[in-house]
Parts: sequence; structure tokens; C-alpha cells
Amino acid sequence: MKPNIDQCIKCSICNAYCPVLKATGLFPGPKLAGPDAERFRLQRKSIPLEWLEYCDYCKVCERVCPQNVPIPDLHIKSRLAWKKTRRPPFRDWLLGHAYLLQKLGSWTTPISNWVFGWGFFRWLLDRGLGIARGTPMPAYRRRTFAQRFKSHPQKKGDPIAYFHGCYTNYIDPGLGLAVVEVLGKNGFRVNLPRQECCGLPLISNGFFELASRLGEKNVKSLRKTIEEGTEVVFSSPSCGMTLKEEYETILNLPGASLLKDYVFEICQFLLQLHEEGKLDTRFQELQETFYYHVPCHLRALKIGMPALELLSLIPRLKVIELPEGCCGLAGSYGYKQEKYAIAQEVGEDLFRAIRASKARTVISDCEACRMQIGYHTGVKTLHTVQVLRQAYGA
Amino acid sequence: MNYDVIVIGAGLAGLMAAEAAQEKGSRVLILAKGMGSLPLTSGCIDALGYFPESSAAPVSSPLETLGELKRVNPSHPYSRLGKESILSALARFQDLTLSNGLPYAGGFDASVLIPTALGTYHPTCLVPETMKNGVLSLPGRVLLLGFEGLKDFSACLASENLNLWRARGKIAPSFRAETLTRVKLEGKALNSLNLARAFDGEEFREQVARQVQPLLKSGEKLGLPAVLGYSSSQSAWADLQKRLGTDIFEVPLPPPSIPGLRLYNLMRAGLQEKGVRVIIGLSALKPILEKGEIQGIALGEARKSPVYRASAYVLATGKFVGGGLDAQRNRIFETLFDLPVEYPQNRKEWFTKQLLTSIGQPFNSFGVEVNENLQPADSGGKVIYQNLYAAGGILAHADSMAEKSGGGVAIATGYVAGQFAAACARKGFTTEGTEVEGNQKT
Repeated sequence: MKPNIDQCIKCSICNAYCPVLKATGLFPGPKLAGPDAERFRLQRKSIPLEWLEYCDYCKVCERVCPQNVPIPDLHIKSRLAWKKTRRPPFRDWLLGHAYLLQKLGSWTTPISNWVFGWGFFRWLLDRGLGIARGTPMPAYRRRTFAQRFKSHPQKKGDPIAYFHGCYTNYIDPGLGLAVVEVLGKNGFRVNLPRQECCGLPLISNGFFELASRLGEKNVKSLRKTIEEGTEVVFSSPSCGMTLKEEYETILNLPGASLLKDYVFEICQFLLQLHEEGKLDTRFQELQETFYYHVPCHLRALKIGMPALELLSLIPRLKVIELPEGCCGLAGSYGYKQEKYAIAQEVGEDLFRAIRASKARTVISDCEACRMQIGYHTGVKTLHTVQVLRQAYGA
Repeated sequence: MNYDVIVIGAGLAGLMAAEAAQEKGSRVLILAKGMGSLPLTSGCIDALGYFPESSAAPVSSPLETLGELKRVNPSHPYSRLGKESILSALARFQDLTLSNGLPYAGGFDASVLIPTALGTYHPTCLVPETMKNGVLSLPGRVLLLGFEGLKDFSACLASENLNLWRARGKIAPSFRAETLTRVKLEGKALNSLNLARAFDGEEFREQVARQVQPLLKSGEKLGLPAVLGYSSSQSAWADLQKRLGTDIFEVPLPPPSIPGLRLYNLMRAGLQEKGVRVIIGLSALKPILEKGEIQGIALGEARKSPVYRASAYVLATGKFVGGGLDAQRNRIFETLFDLPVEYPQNRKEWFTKQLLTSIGQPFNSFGVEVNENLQPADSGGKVIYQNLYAAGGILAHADSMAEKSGGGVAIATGYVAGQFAAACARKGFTTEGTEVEGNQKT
């Protein structure tokens, strides 16, 4: 079903806050590419379809809209209709199938890291495929989180399922272990339900069918977990947003609506425990000043800013919220050669604020934000849960 | 997740309420559906432009009209607040904008007329300093300058229309138009936002100044669309005046309005710096009500949606555009708490047939009824929730469109509601006879 475009009163607030519009003239802005162009698309009139390619899917337009017009949905659904008529380039196939790439990269460590770290290879990728050579390429880990989890000792406790996502699995297993430990500290015993890539890279690169297939597997597995009475947490806001929102609204997966009520962002989950008086708050003092960047997809979850509330429980820790803004990487967006400069320009306001603040450590819940911020500003980056683990003295 | 005061709405009224409560030492949280309506406004603060609404001549002094307003419309938000509160709220607003580098000129005692992008005049009260030289009572010759490709502003149209008003003796200055061609924005679209960001840069200003200099005759003032800087308008404006050696002013444009965005960004950044949290984009707030009080606000309908709690709440969600009010075929309602809204049962009386009539559309005066403490009350005057206050557009009996009173009402009621809410949070829930200190001080 198409969202109602008549709700749009043409106030242009979305244009005023769109980070891509301010960075490039190639994108006409969410209002024009979304509800305005939709009128033409509905009548099958020709509209420059590549407009849709430049949306970085940060969803700020939807958030600032006083009429709640689902602009990103319009973009992505129109992109779906368009992609049916044309074959995406191999580069987009590769970026969409990042989970395969990561699997391969992890198997072949250290060779993969050596190859990806090799300037000439990045040059080849850049010239041959259009994968920007300036964008940070993460280092893969040979022992994935799932493997390390098996040998990680856990005490008895209430069961909780963890959707770790690809990045945690292949690139940042330490974050996954931090989640397990923080949950363990609060009397939970973590299990890993069968899981595939959430499918967001596939959705944003136009591979809706495969995204649906992966999504169906995830829905089946998570439903089984939920029906057994176990709730699910995730630590990557983008994966979580896909599970909770895109499965239902974009991919129309049957049974996905159950996930909305039983799948939680990790900080939201911990904060809920605190509300019930069940969170272990015996935190050690952390005499530090950290800056916190709220990821766009965390904002899109509409759960407030639970990380800030949690971090305020740690004695002596000072956490300063950075001004609202998108980091620009937006998953695979910033890896595309033609969008590399745009992505950097999108994040520039944020980077400038970080540089001006003299921050040494920036906390953010999203792996893409952490990568982009670390790369462009040189600060150390952490996930909220890693700070909590530190405060637990582990 | 416990705060002293939760403000719902991020428009001017909500931001002022948060400011007031924060000043009183409250921990404040702002929850809002969208960005607030400031980017839809001119960025000027209208206090009372026309009274009665149908009058052809603008009000010359809002301050001196308050008495008459109270006699005719005792339920008007201004009538509820009284002179002292209005003046102290506006004074606080001017302090705040001044100390954050976006000073506002003017005062509640005198209206000023400023030019619009279409070449009409608009009565307002406080204007950003970057607009003060454009006040239409100042005589002289003005060069209005447009940018070729900027769809929101035609200098020719504006100056032609303004000269018609001058011929009728309504305004003092005379206008002529020029349009700058060849303005380059590094491949970005030529819109007000990109232009404003470009004006933040010194190089761009120098380039524009070089192009404008030969067009400018001696003794002429320069009027430009309101794009002189996004984050540093005051210094961009001063710098350009220095370079061109003449008075410059901005003309507000259709939305998204740069002066409105400047004000919003400044107030939000200021609040955030003082520790006020702002959460935007919440489409499905759900109040938790118990024992005649508001216990909390859930962020959504889903199971275990986060709940934010506070001792007192300020409702500043605006009318139909902001989403505070909504209408069905036979019903008009307040969207969050379903507070009573008075409106004629006959639907035909909601509208007048002429869209832009000077007497205003009746539905623009609909809203929530409040007592003198700005607490929503039923028709019998009974307070509905002990810890709820309302401010800004959501209040009944003020038609900001016809009266041109939106900004003044938002600032005054927002500020006072924020103070009441802070006092309520300090004392617990008994607000009967609460004294608000700021209310007495001038």
C-alpha cells in the first residue's frame, strides 16, 4: 500500500533538515523526490529516477515532518518499483551482499585484511568497481563472535536472545561479548537464535527479494524464540530498525509484526530493567568526559535516548550529547565512489562539532557511525554497552 | 526517565516553556512530533497586528491595545496573562536571543511594518536586527536585490508592489529592483538554505559584494531575501554592511524560513547546552492518566514502550498545522489528552467561505480552554489535570492568522506556563494559589 501523500502540506521542513540536500545539488530534496515526485510516478510519468539513489535513508525527513508523512517509505518503495526494471551494477550487488563479503573476509583473515589494507587494491576497487577508496574498510576477525560465544562461560539465569548482526559477528566480536557480560551481570543467560543478515544493505541496494528471503528466515527463528517466552535484544540500531520496522512496512513479511513487541534495543531493555528496579547499578566511578552521538536509525526507532539515561547512572561520568546530525556513511552509501564526497560533506557538521569539543572518546550505538566518526576525526569510539561493562569493572 | 517538567511540542511556545522551567531549576525534557512550526514563520515576533481582526489599519501599539482586547475578548491568552507577564516574557526572549548572538530589535509598545517577499507589508513587533533597516516607516530609496534562480523571491515583483503601497501613502520608502545573475553554489541547488549557508562564508560575501557594488547608487539602502547566513547571520549581515557601506536588511521568504530556522536552532542548542533533552519525531505519544493527573507519557503504542515521567507537563502542540488539534467531519478534538475544545455544532460555522478573509477563519480560534493559571479547564472552569499547563497555539480565543499575534502569544504563554509547571513540580501537585515569582517581576 502506498502511504498517503496528501498529508504533505509542502512546508519544506524536511528540505531544511535533509543532510544530503545541503551537501549536493544532485538530490532535489525529500519533498520533491518523495511526495511531489510520487504524484508523477503514480501516473507513470517520467521523473528522474536516479534522484532516489541519492537519499541516504537517514529518515530525518520523517522525523521532522509535522504531518508525519512517511517520506523514506515513499523513497524506498519507489526504488523497489524502479529496481524491478533494471539490473543494479555489480558494485551494488557486492555492497548489498556485505554479509557474504564479511564471511569471506573473516575466513581468509589475515590475507583479507592485508589485501583490503593494500592501497593498490583499494585503487583497483575504486577504478574498477566504483567503491570509494577513501572510505574506511573495517578489519575482519578470524574468530567470529558466534564462535567466541560458544566458549564464553555464562552463569545460570533468565534466558534472553541476542541478535548480534553481521558487524558484531565478523568485525567487532568484543562488543558482542560486552553485551553478554552486561546482561549476565543482571541475571540473564544469553542465547544466540539462528540469524541471518537483517537485510538492510540489500534493501538499500535494491535487492528486495533476497532481503525478503533472509528476513523470512529471521522472522521464523525469532518468532520461535519469542513463542518460547524469550525476549530478544539487539545492539545495532540499524539491524534492529530493520527487524522492527522494515520487515513489516517495506518487505511486508508475514508474522513480522510480533517482533515489534518483543525485540528491544539493548539500552532500552536495560533501562526498562532499571525502571522495574532490577538493574544492577553498582557501577564504579568513571572519571571521564565522553561525547555521545545519537545514530539516525536509533532516532528512527522512536524509543527516546535510553543510552543517555543509562550512562547518567554511572558516578562521575560526564556525557555530553553532540548536536543532532547524520554521520554520512549510511551503511553502504559512503562506500560508493560517486557518493563519497557527499557522505563526507553530510557528516561535516558532526565532525566539526567533535573537533571543536576536543572530545577524545565518542560513544555511539551504531557501527557505521562509529567507523565514520573514528575515521574522520581520529577519536576513539565505543558502544554504550562497552562503557557500561567498563563501569561494572569488567 | 524521571523529569521535573515535560514539555510536549518544540515550537516557540514549547521552547520558551522549557527555557522558563529550566531557569527555575527544573530538569526538563521536550517531546515532540516534528520540528515545531518555527521554520514556517518569518522569524519575526508578531505581537498583535490587527485589532479588531477586520480593521484595515494595523495596531500601532499592542501594549496600549491590551485594555481594549481584554474588554472585548476576556478569554484571549493575553487577557488571561496581563501586561506584566507579557512584558517580562518578551524581555526574557530578547535577553536570550541577544546573549546568543541573534539580537531582536523592537518592543511590545510599538508595531512595525516590514516588507514581505510578495511586496506587501506585514505588521510585527520584534524583528531580528538583520531586518530592522527594512522597517517601512523609514523613508529613503531602497534597492531590492534578487538572485536569479531563487524561486522564492522576485525583486521585481516585490518592488513593484511595494511602490504601489507607497503611492497610496501606506509606506515611506521607494523601491527599485535588480537581479544578480551568475551566483555559483558549487553545483548545489540554488535555494534559500544553500544560499544562507554560503553567506556564512567570508569569500562568498566578498564575491557578492563585488557584484553588488556597481549596482548600488549612493544613498540607497539594500534589501535582500532573508538568506544572509545560516549559523552566523548577525556577523554576516554586519560584514556585508561594512563592505558595501550602506544599511542592509533582509526580507522574509516563504518556508522553510531561514530566520525561523536560526531562531529554532539557537533556542534548541541553548537548551541542550543547559542539559534539557529534546526528542523529536515521536508520532504516537500516549499519555498515562490516573487520579486526575498525568503520570507519564509513553513514546508509542508498542509493548514496553519507554515511559517518561514528570511532576508537571506543558502542552504546546499548536493547532491544526502543528498537530495539536485535529478534525473529523463532525468533531474537533485535542489530539493528545482529548481535552475539551469548544466549537459550534453546526459545521458550516467553522469556516467562512472566503479563504483569506480579514475577519479570520473561525476554526483558527478554536482550541483548549484554560484558567488564569493556564491549566486546561472544562466549560465550568474545573481543572482537568492538576499537573498540566497549556501554551501557544493550542489555546482557544486567539486567531494568530488574522490578529498576527502568534509569536507574542507563544512567548508569553510559553514562558508563564513553564514557570507554573516548574512551581508545580517543586511543590508537588497542589497548584491552587501557586505563586509564580517571575510573574510579578517586571
